[in-house]
Amino acid sequence: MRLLELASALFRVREITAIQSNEGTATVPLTLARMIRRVICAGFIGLFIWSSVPSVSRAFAGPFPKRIDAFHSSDTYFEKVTGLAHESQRIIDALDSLPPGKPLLVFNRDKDPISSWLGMALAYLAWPREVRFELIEGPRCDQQLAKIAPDSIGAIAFCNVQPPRWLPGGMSLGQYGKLVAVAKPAAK
Amino acid sequence: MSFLGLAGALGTLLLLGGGISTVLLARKGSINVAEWICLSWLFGVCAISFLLWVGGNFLNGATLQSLVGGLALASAILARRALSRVQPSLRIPRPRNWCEWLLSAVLAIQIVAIFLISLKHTLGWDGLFVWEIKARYAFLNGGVLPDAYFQGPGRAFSHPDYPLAIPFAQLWIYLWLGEANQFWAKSIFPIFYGVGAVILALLGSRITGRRWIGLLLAILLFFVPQASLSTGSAVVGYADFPLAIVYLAAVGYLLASLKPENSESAVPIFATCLICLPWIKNEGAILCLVAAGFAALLILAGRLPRRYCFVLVPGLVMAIGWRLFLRSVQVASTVDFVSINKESLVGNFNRLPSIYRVIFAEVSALESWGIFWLAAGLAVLFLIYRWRYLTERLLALLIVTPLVLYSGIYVFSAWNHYLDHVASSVPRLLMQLVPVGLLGIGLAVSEIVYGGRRATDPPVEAN
Repeated sequence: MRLLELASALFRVREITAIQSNEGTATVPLTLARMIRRVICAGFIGLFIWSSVPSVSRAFAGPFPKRIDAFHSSDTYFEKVTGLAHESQRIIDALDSLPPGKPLLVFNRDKDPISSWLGMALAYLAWPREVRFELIEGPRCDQQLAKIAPDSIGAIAFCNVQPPRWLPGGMSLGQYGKLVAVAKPAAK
Repeated sequence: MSFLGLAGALGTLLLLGGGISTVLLARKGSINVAEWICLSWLFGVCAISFLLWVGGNFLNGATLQSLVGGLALASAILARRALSRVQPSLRIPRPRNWCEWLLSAVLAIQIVAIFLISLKHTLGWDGLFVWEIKARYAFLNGGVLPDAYFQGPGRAFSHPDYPLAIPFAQLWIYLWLGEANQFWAKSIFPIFYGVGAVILALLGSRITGRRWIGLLLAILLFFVPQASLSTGSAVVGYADFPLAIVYLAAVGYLLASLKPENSESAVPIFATCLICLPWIKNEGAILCLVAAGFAALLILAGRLPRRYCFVLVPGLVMAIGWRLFLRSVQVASTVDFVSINKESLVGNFNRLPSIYRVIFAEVSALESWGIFWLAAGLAVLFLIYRWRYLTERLLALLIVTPLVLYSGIYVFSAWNHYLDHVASSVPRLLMQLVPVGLLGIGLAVSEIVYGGRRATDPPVEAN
């Protein structure tokens, strides 16, 4: 009942809607008041366009891609973050060589966008491997790492986190990260 | 080979959407070709992704692709039959004077520019890690998203609970290409921009009765950087722009349906848009609820025939069905909101002033929005000033209600720093209302420029 009252209050108006077809326009005589209104509207539209020109023109900057690449976006991001080109396929190959059932452990630094991006990118590429995230505060993860049984994971990714000295080797992800295989490569 | 695959994917998608839109538009007696193509794209994206998802429960790989492709073909054949039965006339909207030619040329240049700019851009962060990721994983798994994806906490960052319209449209391209390709996955977004701009021009023309205003609105869309070119815009692969366009179509056809001679053709299109909304993004369920709610009130108030009650149901079924599916696969998702109840509302109500401060700072950022929100705000005030006219009243409500709901939802944010939640997500939520806001601007401009009611308007009685 209340709904009906609300509907009546909102929409029970007598006039017919203003919707009309394109053909239904009529010529309106131009008075001074109308002319002033038109100038104000034109000015506003001009301001609308002018206020966005700097942002719009920025979007045109930058080169066109030289080739069509299956990893066009992730490779571009990796290159920006790590300085390394064509990283996506290299990471997939590295993870594919590990035993399939063992998860990837990612150490992420709290409130660190680069670490967060790197962790997500690795998780994105690691499919169908299971991924576990460990969020840490600060640059080191020795304590958290000590609690983990080595045979329970396939690889560890350190995303803007320093790997412990006793864990050598691994694949460099530029200055911000490292991917270390813990499990032995799967037999081909 | 890539181009052939892409053409096959987009062609079959348009066949399916074309079938749906033909059946919907054939009732009108004459079909506007531009409108037909635009609706074919919108409904094609939603239908192909829906069929892939449903079909993926039973089939996979080439069988799934063949079934969906066959259905697209069948849809086109059915549409051909409907056309030959009804025999509507096909209308190509040509510019009628130098002003319309000029505006159409500028619009065409802008659409080409968006295509070129999208080649330069990569997929955005969410474009890659929230949307494309689903297409990629489904492709690597024979066209089906495995339960492991929904359940694994390691990929909760990718929002497995988000619906599949956009990623499965990308999956359709992957199936035709034979590879997951981030570059070609972007190709659907500039098409969405082109379609959105043309729909805005069409609906703007109809609602204001002036074609030049419709074209101008479509041109102005380009000058809202957050919608056209910035982070989160049409060129970086987020679902917000497609959602904004489908909401625009829903609002436009709801407004069109208020004229009795239009309601027969406009209401089914409105209803189809309602189905698409919750299938594109979770917020689409809110927009669907808002649009369906006002349509229900129009029906209750006798402004729309009561027989249209049933058209509101499928959209809500889609929204509820997706939630039930997520429950059945026990989805692991990040918890962004606490449960919505009286306690959390009362406990967090004091957040509202801070939330609105952040939103105000956002909408006044010239770099992202230009003066769009100032113009939209003034337009809404003007529409409220013209409250006694139904179109103005309804359009104002359809702009303001989602805005109020979107800002209010942060009262229930589960983030420790809820203002970070607002700042990080509100630009995208606001962007979903840009095309509808432009429609409001167009209506206000039309009435200001032409001095109140148009000559063809019927006499007005106050409440």
